[in-house]
Amino acid sequence: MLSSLLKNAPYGNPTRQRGTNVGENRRSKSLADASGYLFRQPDRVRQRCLFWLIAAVVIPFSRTTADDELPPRPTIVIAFTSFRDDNRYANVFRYELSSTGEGKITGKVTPGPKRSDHHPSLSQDGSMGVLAGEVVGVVNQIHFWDFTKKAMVPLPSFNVTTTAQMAPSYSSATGLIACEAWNRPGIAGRWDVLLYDVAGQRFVDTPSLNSAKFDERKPLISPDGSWIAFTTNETTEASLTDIRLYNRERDEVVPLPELNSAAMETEPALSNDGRFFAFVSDRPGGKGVRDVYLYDRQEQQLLPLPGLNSAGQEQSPSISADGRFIAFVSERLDAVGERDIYLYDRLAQSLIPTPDLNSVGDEYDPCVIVLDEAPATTGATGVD
Amino acid sequence: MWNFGRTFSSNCQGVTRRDVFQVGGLNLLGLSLAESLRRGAVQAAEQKPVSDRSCVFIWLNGGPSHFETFDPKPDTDDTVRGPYGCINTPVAGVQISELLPMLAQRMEKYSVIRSMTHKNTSHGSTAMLTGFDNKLEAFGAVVTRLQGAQRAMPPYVHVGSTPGDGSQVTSNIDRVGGGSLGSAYGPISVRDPSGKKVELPNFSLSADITADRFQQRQALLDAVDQSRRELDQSPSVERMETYYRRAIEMLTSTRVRDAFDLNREKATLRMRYGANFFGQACLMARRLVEAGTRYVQIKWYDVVAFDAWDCHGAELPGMMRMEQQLCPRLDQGLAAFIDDLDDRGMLDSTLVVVAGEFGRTPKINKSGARDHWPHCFSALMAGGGIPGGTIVGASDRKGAYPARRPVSPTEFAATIYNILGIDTTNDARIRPYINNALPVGELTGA
Repeated sequence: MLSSLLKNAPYGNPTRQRGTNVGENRRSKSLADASGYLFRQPDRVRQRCLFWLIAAVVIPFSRTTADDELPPRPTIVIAFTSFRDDNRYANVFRYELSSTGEGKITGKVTPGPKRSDHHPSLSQDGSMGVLAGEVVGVVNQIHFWDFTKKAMVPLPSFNVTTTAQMAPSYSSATGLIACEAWNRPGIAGRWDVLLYDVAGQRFVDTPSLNSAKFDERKPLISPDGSWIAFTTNETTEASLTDIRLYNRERDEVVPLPELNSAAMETEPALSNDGRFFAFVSDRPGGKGVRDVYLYDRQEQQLLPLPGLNSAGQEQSPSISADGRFIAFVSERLDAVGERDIYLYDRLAQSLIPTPDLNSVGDEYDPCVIVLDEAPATTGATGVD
Repeated sequence: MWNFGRTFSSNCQGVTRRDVFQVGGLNLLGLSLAESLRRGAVQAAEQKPVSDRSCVFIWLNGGPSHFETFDPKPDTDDTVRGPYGCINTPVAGVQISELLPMLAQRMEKYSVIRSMTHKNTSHGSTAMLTGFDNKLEAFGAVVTRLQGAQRAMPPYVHVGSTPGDGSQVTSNIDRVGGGSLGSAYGPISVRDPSGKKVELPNFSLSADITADRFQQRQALLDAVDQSRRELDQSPSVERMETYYRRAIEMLTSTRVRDAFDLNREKATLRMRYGANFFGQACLMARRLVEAGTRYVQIKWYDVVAFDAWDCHGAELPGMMRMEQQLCPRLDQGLAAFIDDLDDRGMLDSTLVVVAGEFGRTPKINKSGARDHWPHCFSALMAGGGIPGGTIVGASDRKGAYPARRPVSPTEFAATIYNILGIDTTNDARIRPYINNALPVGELTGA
């Protein structure tokens, strides 16, 4: 049901079904009596009564908004990067927004000295997060953080390289981490996408994913692990950076011609089964220079996101596994800091307030998930 | 140096740092501007012809990659070419990085020097701010010295961080200003026109002001009034040069305040420039030159906040920053700035210069980014009567060295001075600041 609601935008003003119960019949009878009374009155009185009668009927229906029909909002978790605690080295934080709208920071990855952390990706229960960390003078590495134990999970054999690895993405259903690597000896030439099996402590073969000539970057593995979206600079005559989709089961790259344009498409994000596809483009016709777009791969069409984009730059979308929520970065005049994170509810077609999420320091790289039940780590632990 | 807006110091009245308008030092600091005004009057008396052109110098602090901005090399070796595509411009055969789509559309309104070159790999190099690696006299200071103020506006304004406001001085570049000319020719400094989002609290009373903040601001205004009263009552006032009074009147005038006040602009226009420090700094620059300021220098963000162009690393310290922050902000802010100047008929009278201290290495480093490279890089110029759509010089196949028409920092300086109406051939006063360098003829028509 949620899936069909999310597909068919706009979602608001669904037709209200007429009731047939006793109460409805009584109301119908009352209306008929009122009509008879009305027609027996002088014109002036009749006009006034008619006005109020119409108002009484129309106003309640006009107040039938999407809010009345929306499923209750779940608990939402957003992992993100921020300079809020340190203006030299960025940290990764975990933020929780309750179903009743209270928000607070519920975790922070504790970095080593002089390390900047970026680009978190959460497990679907919100307890684990993969991220990129760069110590001054050392190349970027991929780290795995347990928010429950407040400790790093070792990734042996992953970071054994002299070149940088970045932009990780995690599928908790399969225990796979996708990331991009620059010129990793023995595996990749230039920028390629790597896939790592956390439990097996080994890289997974993806023979058709990378090309020798072009750069594959910014991988986003779907939560169910079936799909990897990524960017490529493989150009046709009129295209710039584009997005591709890798089907793991078939070891096949899907080109997505309906999604890409002659402009730049980048920063892909996927719902659980890879059906909904959020991304950024600077194509003509947007509200700002860069806007967030949503593509329904099943219907092969772009879906409207009313109220999401602004005249500013929207970037770095993350879509929840169920496809309902999109977290993204924007720069707006009425914001808390320069770069803030916003949360959009596709069902309500509006931004959701996120108290205490943003600070005067930059917030960026959001990863949003939905919790059916809050994990044991959240709520009680407070900020690490 | 005068500091407006957000600083790291507090004044004698205990006003919070974001509300600092350094009236406490008005009488002392007023000497600088008064001297500047006096020099301007002397200069006028010498009947030197003065151009009405202004300059906005955008300093891309940290050293932008020429590969990922105005000189992409998509067909070079695997270790050189970056991950981004090239975008066509309206000028036949000219492409720039796909990260700058709005500027690509406006190529006919600006020109690019693709063969800037010098030898200093340090961020401390002052070459691109003064024309020399060992001088401290900023272009703005020299212009102020030779042309003085106009239309009762401060002649030289710096927007962005500076050492004088309490931040750390790490190299010569932090000392660039009046130099040997003296502080009289240093800039009035607005550290952060945004405070957070481009508000000059002391210049305007916004609708959401709290009672406390209002009282603090009122204290500032009272301090200004007190300064005025003291001046009026002092026996020495009669003997004081007119210039001191003019300096104080200038800096406390409604007209000057209004020029700094971005809240007077429509929100739609502010958003066109970008809701960030750089975009709003460009908008402030437009307001200032419109009001009569001769030289505005915008310094890109500080290095410490990972907002500068010094991208050595991966993720946000590297290419990701180019893609997500730096280029989008430059693209939107500069394009809006050029459009706005053009729409208002100000582009011909306003020279816009965009440059950093150097470019970046052709070879991509182990983090997937680029390091310092002064041997060949790009600078942009727009307006001021220069022809648009011109590419001056060229880099070699790998973007490593000039392949044609190398341009030195002194030639760069001579070009700026020449466009601003200073006679770089016959005016002996300019010689120490350009040596024997000639302006770039492709841009000046000389």
